[in-house]
Amino acid sequence: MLHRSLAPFALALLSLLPACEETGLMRFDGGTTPPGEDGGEPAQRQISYTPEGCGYTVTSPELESAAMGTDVQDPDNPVLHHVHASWAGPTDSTFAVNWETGLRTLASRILYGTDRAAVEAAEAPGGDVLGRNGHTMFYRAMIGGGPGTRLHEVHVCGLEPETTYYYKVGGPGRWSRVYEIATAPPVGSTQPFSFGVTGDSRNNLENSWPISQRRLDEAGVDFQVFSGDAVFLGANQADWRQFFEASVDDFDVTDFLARAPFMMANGNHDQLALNYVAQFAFPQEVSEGERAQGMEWYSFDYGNAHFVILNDTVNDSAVLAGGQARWLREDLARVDRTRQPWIFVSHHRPFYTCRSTHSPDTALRAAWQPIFDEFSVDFVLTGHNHVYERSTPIRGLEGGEGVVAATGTNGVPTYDMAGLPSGTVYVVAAGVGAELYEVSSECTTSFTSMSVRPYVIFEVEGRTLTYTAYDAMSGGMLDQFTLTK
Amino acid sequence: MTRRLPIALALLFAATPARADEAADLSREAAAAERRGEPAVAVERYRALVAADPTSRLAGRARRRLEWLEARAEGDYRPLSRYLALRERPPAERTRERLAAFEAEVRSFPEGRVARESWALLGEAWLALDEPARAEAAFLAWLDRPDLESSERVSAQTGLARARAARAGPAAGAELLRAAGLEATSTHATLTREARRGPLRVAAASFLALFLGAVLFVGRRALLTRDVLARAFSLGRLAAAAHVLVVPWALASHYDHDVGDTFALVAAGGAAILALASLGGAAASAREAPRTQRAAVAGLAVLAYGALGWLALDHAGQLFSFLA
Ligand SMILES: [Fe+2]
Repeated sequence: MLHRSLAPFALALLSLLPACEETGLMRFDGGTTPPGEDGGEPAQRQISYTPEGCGYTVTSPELESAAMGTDVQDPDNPVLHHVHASWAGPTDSTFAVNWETGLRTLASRILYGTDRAAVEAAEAPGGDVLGRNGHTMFYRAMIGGGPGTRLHEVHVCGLEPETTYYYKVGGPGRWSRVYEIATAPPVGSTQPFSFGVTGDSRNNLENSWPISQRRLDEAGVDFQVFSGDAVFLGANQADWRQFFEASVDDFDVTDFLARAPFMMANGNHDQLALNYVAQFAFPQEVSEGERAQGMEWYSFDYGNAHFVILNDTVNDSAVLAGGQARWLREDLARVDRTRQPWIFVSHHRPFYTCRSTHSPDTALRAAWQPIFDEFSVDFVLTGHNHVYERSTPIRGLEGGEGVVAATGTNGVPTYDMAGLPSGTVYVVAAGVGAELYEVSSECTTSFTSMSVRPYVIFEVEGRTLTYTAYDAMSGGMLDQFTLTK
Repeated sequence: MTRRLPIALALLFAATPARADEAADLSREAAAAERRGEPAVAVERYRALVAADPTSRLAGRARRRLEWLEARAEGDYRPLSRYLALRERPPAERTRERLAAFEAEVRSFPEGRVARESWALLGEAWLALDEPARAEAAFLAWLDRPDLESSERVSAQTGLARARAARAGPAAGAELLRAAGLEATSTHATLTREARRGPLRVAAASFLALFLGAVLFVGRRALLTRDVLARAFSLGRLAAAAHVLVVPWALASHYDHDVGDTFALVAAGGAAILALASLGGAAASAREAPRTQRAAVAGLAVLAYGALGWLALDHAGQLFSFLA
């Protein structure tokens, strides 16, 4: 009993270690050469470069070593796993892939093309198969990392929009299996697309994390927005292994993560740890007060929608209403609503949630809601409370409390002639892994709520949007509506 | 040949937007058919889409949907159509009457995925309606199917255990999983914890009461004398106590700022425990009580503090959010 009560204190103490603020929990073994890197030169701790054909710069976090890939393969440990995709550049012409290998593997290549058989057969670029080289990173996590973690990251640019590509990663002698990935429609296009929303996969209770991913994969969504808390402790590499290696029957989560880009917000458990930052590639424009080489908050476009990912777990709370809010305002001001009528925001801690474990974050509400209101954000997607909740449309604050806006049938917003919503809909949809919480619908701003493990699918086509929430465990639908603006 | 190439290219480019529009139309029609519970129509539209524009993004989605639908084609898609009609309905419309009618239909479904998934849906839906006995029957029917995948067996067993727990208490649910060799599942851990929660609450409250009793006994008649008060609350002790109490609150609040209230409660309760322990110790010294009595008060104070922490986290529902 006593040790249980002390555990939170120990955890809190860990999160206070100075190292985690910028780089996560890690140790540098001074003087030892990282495995596989025997060139005699001291290892470089950070790398920054413009991938071939890309209009953006990639910067690694500071870790034990970071270098461009070579063709070296680990002779003793040919493992190559955790393959997952994301975007760091335009979604209609790029994608990025990260993966982990044996410690001594430095090969960080990708082969890709539109002809699956050609990619499968290729050992090197040529004919219809193109190739790119990426970078490799090595770090020793303080917890759960064993002898260390060897990562690889590669960026592909200059692709055709709306096209299915096939790829494999690794290098001569050891390639991953071939995965499929598709580029987005061009910005402003009215082509239909769909995306999934989940969060709080940590602990993988009831194996609900891979179950949710299999359901999203079967639904054929184009990508996934994840509202944070992927793992229990972001600095624990063993937790990330559990996250990437989860499976159900013959389905591995990477079957889905390698084909559908995973765009994630930092959660209070992920802690913006080095492990998290190193394992994902997101847009890296650095703004005022931003850490993690610009991956702390970011935005991207997909077809006729604009997506903003924010970080609400910051060391200095002044950043919420300061640098981050200023960036948010500038970012949203750039959106042309005639071409991109839909705006989605995602972050971790909800500021509209009804009598669940965590109460609404009112400081966050004061910092961000006026901006969401000013730019008529359509949906805000959060987690942290492991439940399903949808708010009424909300616009404006009175005494710090949200004001319920004009509401149509089934609790949806109404739209003006310009297609702007009467209010923003705040969604909490998380818990595909974490323990379930109780929740209530008795708040004036709450439209519906359930204590379940939910995921949401948005299907967007032009100015019409269909929203469906499902229970990951039973597959049963929880909530649905269609909007036309 | 070389003269025809530019013409062919021009035709191809001219055709692309139309092809994309056709793909979008087919994709929309297929999705709508799925929502209406007409899988055979959806399959036909998805096939047409893949044929019309095989390298497009939408064809990728169509192939995935086809794979899912075609794996559930038994009975010419009739069972799937019935299953979707229930699954794609909001929970409020999954009424007892609808569930009972669907259950009767499922009994006549041919062996296959749809029958299995139907029992899973029924089990969860009955549980959501607070009908654990009917949920148990549905999960048992699922378990009875001959062709279960291993994950289905686990899901059916854990569903059955949750239904049993709802009917007969968490210990009964946990026992079912133990009998099935599924002690390693998180459902077993959750049910076991639920089962222990009541006794643990009693134990925690008992520790607090025991501690209070021990202080009163050890310090009897000397507790509130001027001398004991001065000795119990020296400046050094107050500083040490503040440190011990405030630091966990500060750390926990930093870690997760909305747990402040819970840890403030722990700090306030902890302050009371420390004050009582200090008083008891000083009074025991003043009475020249045996050293063992002072040691017992100190030991019980530590246990009481642990009990207090557990009760506060349990009350806030945050016990598990801190502990994996
Ligand atoms: Fe959280």
